Amino acid sequence: MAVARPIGLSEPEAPPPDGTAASPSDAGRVTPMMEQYIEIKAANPDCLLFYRMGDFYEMFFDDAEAASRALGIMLTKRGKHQGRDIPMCGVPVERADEYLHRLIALGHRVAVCEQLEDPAEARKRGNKSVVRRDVVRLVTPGTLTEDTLLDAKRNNYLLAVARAAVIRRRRKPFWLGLDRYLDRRIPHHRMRTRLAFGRDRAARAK
Amino acid sequence: MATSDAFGVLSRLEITAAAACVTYVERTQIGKRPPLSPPLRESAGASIAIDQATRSNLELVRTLSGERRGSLLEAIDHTVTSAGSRLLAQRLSAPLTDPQAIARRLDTVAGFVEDIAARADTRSRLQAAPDLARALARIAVGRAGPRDLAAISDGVLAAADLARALASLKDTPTEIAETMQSCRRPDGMLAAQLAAALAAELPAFKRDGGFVRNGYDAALDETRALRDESRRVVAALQSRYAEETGVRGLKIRHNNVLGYFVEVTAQHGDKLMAPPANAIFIHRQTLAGQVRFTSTELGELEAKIASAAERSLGLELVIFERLAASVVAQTAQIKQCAEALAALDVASSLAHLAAERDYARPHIDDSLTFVIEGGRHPVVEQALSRDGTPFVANDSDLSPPGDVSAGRIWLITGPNMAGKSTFLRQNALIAILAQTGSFVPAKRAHIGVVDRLFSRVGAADDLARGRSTFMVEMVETAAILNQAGARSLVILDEIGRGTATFGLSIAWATVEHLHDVNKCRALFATHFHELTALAARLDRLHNATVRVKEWQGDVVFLHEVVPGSADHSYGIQVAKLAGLPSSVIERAKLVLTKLEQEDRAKPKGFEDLPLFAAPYVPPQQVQDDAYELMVAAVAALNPDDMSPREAMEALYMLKAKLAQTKKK
Repeated sequence: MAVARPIGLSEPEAPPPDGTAASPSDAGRVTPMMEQYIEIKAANPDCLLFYRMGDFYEMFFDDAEAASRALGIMLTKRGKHQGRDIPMCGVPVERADEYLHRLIALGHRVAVCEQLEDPAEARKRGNKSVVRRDVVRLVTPGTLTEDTLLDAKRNNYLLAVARAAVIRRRRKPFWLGLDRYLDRRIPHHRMRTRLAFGRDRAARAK
Repeated sequence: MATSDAFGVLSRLEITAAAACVTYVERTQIGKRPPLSPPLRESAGASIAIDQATRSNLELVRTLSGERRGSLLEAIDHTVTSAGSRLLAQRLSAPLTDPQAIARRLDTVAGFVEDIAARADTRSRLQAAPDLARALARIAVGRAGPRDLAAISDGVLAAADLARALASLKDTPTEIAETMQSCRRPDGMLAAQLAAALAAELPAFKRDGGFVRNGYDAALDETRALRDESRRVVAALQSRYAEETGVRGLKIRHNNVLGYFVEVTAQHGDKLMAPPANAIFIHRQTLAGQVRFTSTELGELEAKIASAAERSLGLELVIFERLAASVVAQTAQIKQCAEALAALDVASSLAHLAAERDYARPHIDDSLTFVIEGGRHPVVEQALSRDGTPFVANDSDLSPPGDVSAGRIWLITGPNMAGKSTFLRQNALIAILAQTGSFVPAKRAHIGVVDRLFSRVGAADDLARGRSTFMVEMVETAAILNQAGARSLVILDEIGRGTATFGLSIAWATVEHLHDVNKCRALFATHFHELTALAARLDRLHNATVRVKEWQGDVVFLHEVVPGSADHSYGIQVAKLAGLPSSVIERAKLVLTKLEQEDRAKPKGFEDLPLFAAPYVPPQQVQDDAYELMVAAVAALNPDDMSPREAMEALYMLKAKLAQTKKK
């Protein structure tokens, strides 16, 4: 069997912030909203989670720390989790594109989680109920569509590499500008060099 | 995977990689998919193989410092649309190797070079064409705004107009005929339908509403009328309240917190809070200068307005989805149309470049010819022309002499700064431009297709990977000597620089290897004058030098490449130009004279050079018939598509074949 692993052209160099710090064990003290957050975060462990709260996308825990460092935005606190403060930071929805752009350039992926109903709807279900939310999109460097996030004069490529199991050291990468690919077999040890001209943009951003 | 047959024969690996891509896209887009075309195999030989070092050395799409400014792409990019610019970059990164395909592109450019009016007309029409491809992608993944729909409508209309205008061209080149067809492909009804539905001024987001033209949808018109009517009722209510209360400054206003409210200045506040007015007005807020109220009647009106606005937005969103769906239904046609526009942009912009900069159509064929007359460096020429300095054009001829099937090597000597590197690069860039399908900065160019391009230019430490200048240089040179063939073009600049005798010996052996083994067309710049002696023995080695003049002890660069070799390197004069202290210059002159005297004291023919003393033995040719046969048999195998059993059988078959050939 051939094994395939899709990669964005710029994998984050730093290990993606994981949600382990946010595992719900002290369930009794977790607010319903935080419970929802932790559940959604657990489904998207390799992304920064933009969690929509009104006019802001908020980030919590490790995500908040990573994002505040990367974007130079203020890190604050919101409530407690397992007796410890929950780090939080956020970006206004109106200016989210700008921050997304910077995070993507730094090699992060972002999961955008929206409110799927009017808060009034949620209140009808009872005082403690939370607004329904879910991830509507993962923003990754290889799958951008917005003019504000793309360079108009530059193609944006997504590359998939399939590894042939028979000949261990050969891989077959595909160029995919969402419609074209290149049939090249490349010995494993040359992969980095051959892919270099697609990677340098991310490398320079660092 | 049952449908993959439709894509032609894809290997399992190809299907795996393609599936990985699509899965990734669907995962990130949460089930939505941008417009995809069937996979198209681009085989490895279809474009010039250019390795990473060569790409960055030649600064094709960006400079060594990573910028677009100063690159070849920047110098030749006169496109008027961003899609055209993207296509040009893509083509420049992968120049073709099929002379017919190249000729097709050149025909199109030539058509636009000749027909000045058509070129200007095409370019001005293209300017009005929005980025169809990206708008389409956003519509398909449900992330589009009203302006994207307008972009499709404008783009499709512009394409149809352009196709009509191009129909007047005399003897239309094939590529233009094809693009004209693609331009007409999207259903004209679609553009008309979009144009009829969309308002003149469009908001950025669909949630803002107001993007559907009045008169397009009866139900929408009705709710809008209701909403506007209610607004008139509000205005009427305001004058009635003003009259009833006798407060002439009474206003009905709206904000996001309170909604609609009645506002009076502070001095009139009490009047509205006292009977009889307080039966109507309910106090909401007191500010420093104003007091705000609401009333039952106003509340009811507000609800009516809000629901009318909400209903009309809802109707608009339904219309939006319907229009988006009709666009998505024509994805393939719109994509083709977008590609055609980009191709026309590239061709007409290259024609514009050719006319503006006086470029010539190159002649490309299957030979090993490489003749350039009056070649110029496309980027340097432009930089010079900004200062009003003319660029000195130069000829080159690397064609095989007589009926030999191996190209020439030019060995270029001359002082530093004389323009050796510029000359080397310009030949590589002209080959790239020619095979990209562009006219070239030369009087005449005849190029037998280049299938691989190598260059070793300049020296840059690769400190990030812990390799020294020398190591980088050797790794790159090794790659060239191991891979270059008769169809390759090799550019070598200053191999072995800075490592005296050691460097000379490597440069010497490299030239011999290129000449006898690689048999490629090559340009080799060096400051080792000893190498020029090789021309006596290597028949396809040609010595050339960059002319300089000495004038009152200073050196004047003429930038002219002529046959022959440089008499000396003018290193001291160059050092003087660079501003080295005069005491150092004087001392250096003294040392040089002394060295030269010692040198002359010894008898000197090139046979005396230790390098010539070691006889050169050309590498053994091991390609007999049996070898060829075995190579062909192994090449025919495709291990990825074999079962273990088939692989075993193939192995036995090979052993048997080997035994057979040995017997003969």
